[in-house]
Amino acid sequence: MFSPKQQIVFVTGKGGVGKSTVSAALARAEADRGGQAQLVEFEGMHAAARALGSQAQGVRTVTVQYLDALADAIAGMVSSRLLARVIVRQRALERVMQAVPAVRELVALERVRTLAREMPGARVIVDLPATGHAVDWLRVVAAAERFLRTGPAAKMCRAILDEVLSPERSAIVVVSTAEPVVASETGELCERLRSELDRTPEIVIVNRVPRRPGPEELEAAARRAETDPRYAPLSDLLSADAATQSETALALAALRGIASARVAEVPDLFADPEPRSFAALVGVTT
Amino acid sequence: MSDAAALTVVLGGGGVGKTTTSAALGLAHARAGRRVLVVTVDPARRLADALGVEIGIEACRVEVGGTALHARMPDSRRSVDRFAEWLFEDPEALGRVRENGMYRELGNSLAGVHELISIAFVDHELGSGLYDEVVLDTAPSRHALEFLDYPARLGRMLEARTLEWVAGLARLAGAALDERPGERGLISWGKKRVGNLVSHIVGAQAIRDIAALFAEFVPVRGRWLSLVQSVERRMRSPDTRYVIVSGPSGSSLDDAAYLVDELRARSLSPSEILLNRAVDEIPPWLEALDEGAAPELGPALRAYRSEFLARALQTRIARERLADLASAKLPVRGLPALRTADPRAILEALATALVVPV
Repeated sequence: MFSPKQQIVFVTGKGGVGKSTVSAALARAEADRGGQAQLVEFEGMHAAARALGSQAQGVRTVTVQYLDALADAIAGMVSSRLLARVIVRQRALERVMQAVPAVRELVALERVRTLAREMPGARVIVDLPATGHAVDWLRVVAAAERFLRTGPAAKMCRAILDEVLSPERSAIVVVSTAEPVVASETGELCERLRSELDRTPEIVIVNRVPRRPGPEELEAAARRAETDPRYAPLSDLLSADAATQSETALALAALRGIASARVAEVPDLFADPEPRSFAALVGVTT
Repeated sequence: MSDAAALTVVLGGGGVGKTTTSAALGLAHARAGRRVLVVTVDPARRLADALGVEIGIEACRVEVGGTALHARMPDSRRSVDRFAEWLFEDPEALGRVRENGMYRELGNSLAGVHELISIAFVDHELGSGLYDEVVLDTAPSRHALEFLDYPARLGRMLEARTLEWVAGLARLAGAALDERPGERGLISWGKKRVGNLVSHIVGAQAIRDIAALFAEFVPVRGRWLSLVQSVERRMRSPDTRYVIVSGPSGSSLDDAAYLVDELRARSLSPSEILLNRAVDEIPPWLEALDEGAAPELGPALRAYRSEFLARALQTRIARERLADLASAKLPVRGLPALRTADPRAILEALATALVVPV
């Protein structure tokens, strides 16, 4: 699914779609086939590490703390960790940092860059923060580079662009659910990735796809309901689920057009009595 | 203050149905005869989708099942520009801000920019006399808290010492990092050393841009701070309610717990928790149907039964966790899990579940 050079995988999507679970599953799939993975999430998040569980071997979990990442980034530029600490402890600087845009995103992505360098053989799976601003996260580096132009910080931005954000180095996984509203927002996200970053996601994973009522099932329920009102709620439920799914199918078809990416579907574990392995479902093993 | 609108801030993790719930709360108030505005800070289109209409940066009238309410959502870049227009009354200052490299490249990426603008808008709307009730739908959890922190953060940023520090950096950058007469001793040496390093890292031009932008804020500091302070008063007003929305899943419960803690850490208390998509029991009709009587529907019956059973179990665990969380007499209300492809039908049913006294 990803080229061997694409060491970094960004997992993004709307809130609540299961990004962290997908991130953990991708890391685990990497480890299961004998590779190594680093599972990265950001300050205040711990869902991916939890979804991974404690049994996973070959996966290193990392939570990026912004202030530490800032100190590390500065240390890389002034080549002194001590000086970097002194700079970061300046309270006025801390306040400016809080107000100056993009600092967090920049230092977090710089941390991703150094993690990738530390373990060149390990895939770095990045669970991006759950917001509608994933595109902003990735776009901010180029904007900062244009603003800074010269100096070590601008150089850092260029290194991030080359080693982390270029399509040769990183893949984008977009997670969606099968709800029509979520699917249409996923379409907008893909459209923004294309128009603002010139990126196409390597794969769109549609999570929690419910059981599909077949046409003969719908017909049978409707026939029963005509003669026996006790079947009316079942018929209604089947029709509602079928209607939801045909809308979702439309949204996903539109998504395929926009994203021109692979779309993999993962069944709703509540609705699927025999959950298959995640890796097989999205084709990670092939 | 008495004719100002009451504010309901809706908080919750991603994907719990916050926006739909906000719209439904607004609709419930509107049905009770109140004049309502629903505002979302989430740049995503969910509010428009929930209401089933196009809504924009201006408040617009929406009719749902014969009841009217108003809604608005921000367009990030345009909102930033409009906010700048409001803040900088002097056209020359506004021109300089627009030309500033940091504003041009990064103004739209400013962490918390949507929150900032929603503060400005909401404050304006609350005092406008046009509404009795304003429902504010926030971005997923942690950003929502940035929104709560912004007033204090902005205040600190505009403190004289911070501004002096930035101005000092700009001087250093402008003076080619020369020794300045009159500053002596270890502290000034240390400050200068750090200043030199920061200028070196970020680059002289960028430092000058940052300092220039900060400098533009000095003359409008009063305007900004008065806005920030009135928003802070509003957040702490007894007329402001904080409603937390959760789903039955473990991660959304974690988010709800986090939000309760964070609100309490700020001496604010949530007024209730809404447990969305609660399935409290397997529907009786589903229990009553006999598989043997309609074998062709057997697979569907079995699938729905196992699904509802799992969801009911999940809801029970969620209610237990929320009951623990809500130790301080915090009510927990369940909202039904609705299965329909029609967003408006969901909205109307939720508004009925959220009925408010007339």
